[in-house]
Amino acid sequence: MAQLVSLAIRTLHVLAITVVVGSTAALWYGYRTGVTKGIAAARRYEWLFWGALGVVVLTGVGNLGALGPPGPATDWGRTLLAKLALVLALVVGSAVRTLVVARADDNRYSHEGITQVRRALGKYYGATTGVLLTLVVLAEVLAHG
Amino acid sequence: MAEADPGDPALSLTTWALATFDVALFVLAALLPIHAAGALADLLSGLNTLLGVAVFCYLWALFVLAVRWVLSDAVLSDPLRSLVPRGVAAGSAAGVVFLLGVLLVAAGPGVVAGRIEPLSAFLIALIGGAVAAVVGSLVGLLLGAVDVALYKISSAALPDPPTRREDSASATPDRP
Repeated sequence: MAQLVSLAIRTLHVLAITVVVGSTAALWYGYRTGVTKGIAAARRYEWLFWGALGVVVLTGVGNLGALGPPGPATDWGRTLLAKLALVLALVVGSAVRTLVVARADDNRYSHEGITQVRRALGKYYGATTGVLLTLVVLAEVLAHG
Repeated sequence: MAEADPGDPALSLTTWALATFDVALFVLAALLPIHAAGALADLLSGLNTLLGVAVFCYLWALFVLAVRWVLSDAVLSDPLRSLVPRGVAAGSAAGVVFLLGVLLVAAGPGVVAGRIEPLSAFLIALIGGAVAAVVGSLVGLLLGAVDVALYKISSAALPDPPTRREDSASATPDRP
């Protein structure tokens, strides 16, 4: 039973991060190329992002419990410390990004204004994608060395 | 700039995002120093995974309710003197409810079965509730300060100056 729960937690962790990475990269591409117009897509994404992030944190702690992480003096422990610090940076940066999206309103901007917002969102989602991909690499190092 | 996120009155994007941010920050702020001290394995090895999932979900729900209550009659651009008391009160209430919920599940069956004295359980709930209220109010104060700080940063990150459509429309010559 414990192994089954552990497998379910690991699967949920990977699925949640897959959803987050995929949707962030798609939104970055959309705003960068102008395929995505307006802020409605960003709003929908932010709802999904925070739900998935909660699941990632929840299942991440569950994974650590199942693994029994070694101390920070080991290579594995140092990598985990770096990963946790990067997750913290992601969470803080994403809160700012979400507040920008929540406060932005298509109807408040002129055509030039909305283009500026789209350009800024493209940058924010690009940075988020970069951090997420770095986290995926760190997770791979933790899982496979 | 005014809030552009009235959203669903039951749960706005700002409430959902800040509540999840707060709970994630709360957990990460606890995990990082514990791991840096080398005590993470000892702490987590004693916990049941499903119990941990249930506790996290319970905490998450309480954070959502607390942030929703704070923002139900306020916005993050309000003066701190009106936001701080609400943040402290919400944190305090969430701390007490969290502890009482955990005690109910952990000690409730023992009280019903007669293994735990009702008076002892009451005293534990009373003293623990007072401690949880103080801890919760501090957590509410700190997380509220972080939320307000991030809101101010987001003001700078929002492209400025936003030009209203009606402003630009009024600058356009009238059509015949």
